[in-house]
Amino acid sequence: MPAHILHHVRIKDGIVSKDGVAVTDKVMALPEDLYRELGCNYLKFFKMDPLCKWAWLATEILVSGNGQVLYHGLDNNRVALVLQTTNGCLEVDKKYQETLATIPSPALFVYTLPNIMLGEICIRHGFKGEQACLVNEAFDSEELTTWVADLLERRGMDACLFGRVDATRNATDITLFWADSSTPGTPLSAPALQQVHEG
Amino acid sequence: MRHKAYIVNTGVITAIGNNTQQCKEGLASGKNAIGKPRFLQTHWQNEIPVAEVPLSNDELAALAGVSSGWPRTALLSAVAVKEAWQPYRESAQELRCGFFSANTVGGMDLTENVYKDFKETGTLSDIPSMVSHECGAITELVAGHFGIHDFVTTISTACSSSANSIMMAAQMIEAGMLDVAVAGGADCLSRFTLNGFNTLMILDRQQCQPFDNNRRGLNLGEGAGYVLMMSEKAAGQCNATPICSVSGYANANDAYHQTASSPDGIGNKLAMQQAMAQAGITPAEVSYINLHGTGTANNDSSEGKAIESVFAGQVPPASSTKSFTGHTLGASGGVEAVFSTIAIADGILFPNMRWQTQMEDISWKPVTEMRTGLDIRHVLSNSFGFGGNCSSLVFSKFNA
Repeated sequence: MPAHILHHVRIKDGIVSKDGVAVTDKVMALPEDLYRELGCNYLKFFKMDPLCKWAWLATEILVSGNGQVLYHGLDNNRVALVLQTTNGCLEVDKKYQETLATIPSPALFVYTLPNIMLGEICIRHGFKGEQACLVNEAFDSEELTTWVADLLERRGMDACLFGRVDATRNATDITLFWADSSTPGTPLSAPALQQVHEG
Repeated sequence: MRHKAYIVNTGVITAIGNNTQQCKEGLASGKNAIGKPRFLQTHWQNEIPVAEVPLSNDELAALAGVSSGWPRTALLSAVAVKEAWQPYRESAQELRCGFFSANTVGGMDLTENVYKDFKETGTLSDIPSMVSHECGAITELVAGHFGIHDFVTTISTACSSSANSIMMAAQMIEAGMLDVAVAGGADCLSRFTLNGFNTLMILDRQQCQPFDNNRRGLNLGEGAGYVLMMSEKAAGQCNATPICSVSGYANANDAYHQTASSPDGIGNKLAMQQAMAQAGITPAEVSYINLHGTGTANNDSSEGKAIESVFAGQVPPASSTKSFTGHTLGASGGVEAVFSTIAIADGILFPNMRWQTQMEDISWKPVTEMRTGLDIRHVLSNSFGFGGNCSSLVFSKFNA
């Protein structure tokens, strides 16, 4: 069966929605605001860089619902992740660079790679399938469609969390999707992704 | 049918020697090669000791017969590949040969020089030297020089990189996809890795003391290590004598932290157990463990506990040869595969240097003296990388 999109999460400049429905009517300026709004309890969250925080939160919203996680019953080894970003972890890169003048911070250093956001998601949910972190100028629905269709239809993956996470001090732009190849949903296609991204 | 993958030859270069024989002598004589770098240009020259190969790029290039303009990682790789591959190059010509080479530094050493100029002068005068920046470029340079082209790949999974390249080569030979493989890895010292590990606060300011209760961290090293692997049929055709087989291998991930292992070493345990299961041996049959043993508080504690649990109180002789070579990162699995092969071929065990004090959280201790005249049948070699990327290999004596 070809890949289908089951759920999506959109976070843009503090407005958070899942499957087109507002998660909260408040504007979430900071990731900590959303963390508290969702009532999360995950102490490691607070040491993450902004990119990881937002990616982690968007994933919490995406995979939760109806009393059990979306990946319930799936083989973790066959859950894939494909995430795009534009600014990557520049915020923490800059902060880390400032510490070079005195004592370089090990706590910041470990976040100075954008793909660490995939690691934080995997540590939280135990996903161990194929993973890719792609750096693009902008949301690229064609690229996502190619990768995800390939993973689900030809590479033995059962489900895929994918999309784009971009977070800077001034702007947050996140579009996350969950797709699998066994549940009916919206067929995976670039226009379908684009439509969610453009809201 | 599965075709066993046999190791028929080795090639290695580290701070203690330029080839297998010299490294063996260095291990046997307790050669101490950890100290001030001569070639790595670093702010930490007088503060952080390293295990540098005592040859300039020109000297390495002459040894390998390649251009001295190559990145140092490629030069080290070429020296070790030449030793392992050259004696069989001609006889293996008609066979399907693969090159599996790991590294993590790539051509970063040359890029660092360009970057320094760029930062100071604003001009990119030497941009061509950056063309070999990425890890795959190192493999391509070396594969091209030695004429290996049936299958060429680069693996970069932090400190387990070259263990994983040996694992992949074994799988392809077993599956009948290749007849011969040169597998291992290389890494040179660079400012980025030294500064990065320094930031993580896991570099020892003195010579490292793996598995010692008062260990302070690791020493970075550089080098390259490769094994030449053949199917039985290929070994016959090339008139090569198998030393041991790559009988078991496993890779597991404990998905716990970006750079640290889980405290009780879940990934370490899984990797060791699965590798031994694949080799069809029980823990009691392991003659020697070549430890990952970096000398950091975290690694030695979680590796130590994992071993204690897997071997249930009957821990075989074990040592970390990183006390000689430093931690050679992407090369370490390859270097230690060569040392494991030497252990089997010569029936010897290498000491874990500078061990003084029993670790409090484990009940066993590493081997601290050279042992000879042994019958080493199965060696377990551990390589545990950042991101919880844990690999174990089992080498079994030919016809053991």
